[in-house]
Amino acid sequence: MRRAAKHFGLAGRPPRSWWLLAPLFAGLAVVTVVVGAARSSGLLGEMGAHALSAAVVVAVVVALVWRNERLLQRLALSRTFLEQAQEAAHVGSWVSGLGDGDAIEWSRETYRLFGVPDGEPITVRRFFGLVHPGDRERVQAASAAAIDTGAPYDLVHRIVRDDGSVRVIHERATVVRNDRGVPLRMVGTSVDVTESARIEERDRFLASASAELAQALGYGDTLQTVARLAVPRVADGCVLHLRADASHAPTVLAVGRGGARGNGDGDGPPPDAGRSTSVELRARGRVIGVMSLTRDHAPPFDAFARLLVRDFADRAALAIDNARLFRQEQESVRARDEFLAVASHELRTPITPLKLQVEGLVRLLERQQSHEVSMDRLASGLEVIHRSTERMHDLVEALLCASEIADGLLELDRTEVDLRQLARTVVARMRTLAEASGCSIELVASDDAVGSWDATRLERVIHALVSNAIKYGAGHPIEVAVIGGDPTRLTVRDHGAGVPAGEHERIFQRFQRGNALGGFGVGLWMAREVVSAHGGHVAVERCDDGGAAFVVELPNHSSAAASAAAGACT
Amino acid sequence: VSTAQRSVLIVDDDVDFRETLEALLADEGYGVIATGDPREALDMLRDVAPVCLVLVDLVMPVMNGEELVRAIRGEPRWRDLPIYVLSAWPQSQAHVDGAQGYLEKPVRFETLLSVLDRWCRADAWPDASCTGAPARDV
Repeated sequence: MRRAAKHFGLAGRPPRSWWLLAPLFAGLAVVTVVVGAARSSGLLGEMGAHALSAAVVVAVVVALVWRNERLLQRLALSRTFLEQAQEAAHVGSWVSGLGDGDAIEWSRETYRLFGVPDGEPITVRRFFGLVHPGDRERVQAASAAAIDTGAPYDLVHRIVRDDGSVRVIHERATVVRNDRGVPLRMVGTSVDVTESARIEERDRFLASASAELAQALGYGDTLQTVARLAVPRVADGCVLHLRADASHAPTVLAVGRGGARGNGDGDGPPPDAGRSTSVELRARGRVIGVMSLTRDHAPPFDAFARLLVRDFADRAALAIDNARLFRQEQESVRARDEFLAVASHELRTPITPLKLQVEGLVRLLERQQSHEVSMDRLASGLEVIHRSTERMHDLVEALLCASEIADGLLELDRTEVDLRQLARTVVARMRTLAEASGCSIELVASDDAVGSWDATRLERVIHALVSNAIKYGAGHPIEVAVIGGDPTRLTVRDHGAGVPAGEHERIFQRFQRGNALGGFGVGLWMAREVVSAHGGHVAVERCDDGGAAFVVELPNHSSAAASAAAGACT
Repeated sequence: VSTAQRSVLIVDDDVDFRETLEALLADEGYGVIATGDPREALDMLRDVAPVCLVLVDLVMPVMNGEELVRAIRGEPRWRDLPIYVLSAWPQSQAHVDGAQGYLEKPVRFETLLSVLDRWCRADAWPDASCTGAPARDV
């Protein structure tokens, strides 16, 4: 260091230049003149003149030495203040030669910033060795440009300390030149901006993450975007665990290195300290999942990084929640459109024979004298018209019932109802339709099936279940059974393909239709809602010999007897 | 009304619709055979009276209208047999290859008659054999 200081003429102590001795020479000159005058005037003898001269010289020298020491003390104090100020501000200063092998003079704070032991000789080559390999070329280019063209040397770059830690340094410097413009050295400052750089990087990352997440509307796209943002910018591995909701199954998405380990659920010992972190994904006050991140190569998660993960997780949760809502909305719109198409189809079906019959009869009457039209022809035509209007009436009733339920307006009109009679009426009305589909219907009813229920709505329930049996059990017999007691049980058994085990709940949801064989897709949903409103429940059983049995159980407190247990499939 | 000796084959699982068309077309002097089972319709084509036009619904159990049209077209002798789809589904939502036309329910009777008039008049089938087909303008 002392050698370098000598090189730049900037050692720790100031140089002792000739002008510092000027007062001594001036004092000697004054003493010589005064003593010479005194001797000439006879005021002093020769000895006295010598003694006086010596005394004056000694006094001047002592004064000079004292003054010089004062200066040095003040200079040392200033240096100390400077070092303390640099330390407080994390600003180091330096003076650098221009060649690779030239020395660099660092201030104490610069040594600290670079993580190099104070006093270690530093060369330009050593400095570039400390610059992060990813930034080295850029720093060398900036340095060369400053020396060659006078461009400002003002840049932020990373350094890798000898202990492996990475810091971000902001350097500013100027090139000192001689009178002819020849560059002599660079003088500059270094500031550790690691923390502010992390904050800036965090803000940039979160802003871009928000922007990217806002672009992703699809659920899958959003999860992929979250994972892509997390790896590698936040972590080396990421696992997203999303809970199920009304329209989404549980989802797990793992990306990156070591993405599957350390989910922080508390099972087993934690992985390396700081190498993993887990945060809840919260949206609208609910936990919708967990994001687990791992770092294998990146530095461990410190407090700053955990806060960043928390902020990122909040944005990710919001985006995922929005994507889920968007998908639900899309599904609702799709279901509504499908329902409208189905409703249109279902209403057109009975309208067609109705309309054709009316057109045909009018045409017949116009063409012939009315008395020539046979009564049989008229009767058969009117019969079709009647059946068609009944079917339309049923459909409209189903729609209205579904609409009431959807609007939360279902109010039961309880009267004393004989469920056997109700079932008998519905079966009789649907027999023609059933037979047209190759289904025979058998009704088995026990005594004591009278209860306080809503007759109209239960009729719709039986209609929906029999209609369902005809659709999905075409060509096979259907059995309807009513067993009295509490609860009173109604079973509609078909011998179709049956309902797969995984579908037992789904088929009772609104707008669910099996094989698109007619109906609005609201029958079973409506049945469950109506039965639930009565305090009962309806479920489907898969029968071993094929087909399905839909079982309705209605509480019947007026019945003294408990209902006999009977298998739904028997 | 001068009609051919050929019948209109109606394939629709809606009993009321079948009964209606049977009555109305009989009023107009057309022969009608009808079934709700597409498999039976294939048997009818093979074994019963010659057919001038097939009216087929789309949504039916066991075999749907699209499959029936494919099965008919699979027989070389029925390659040119006129087939019209008659469905309550809008044509824009249905994809049926091999049919000459598509009529949406509820169809106007006049529209239906114009189709029958075109394919089932006596002079539309000069050759009484089952393999012959009327001149097509579509």
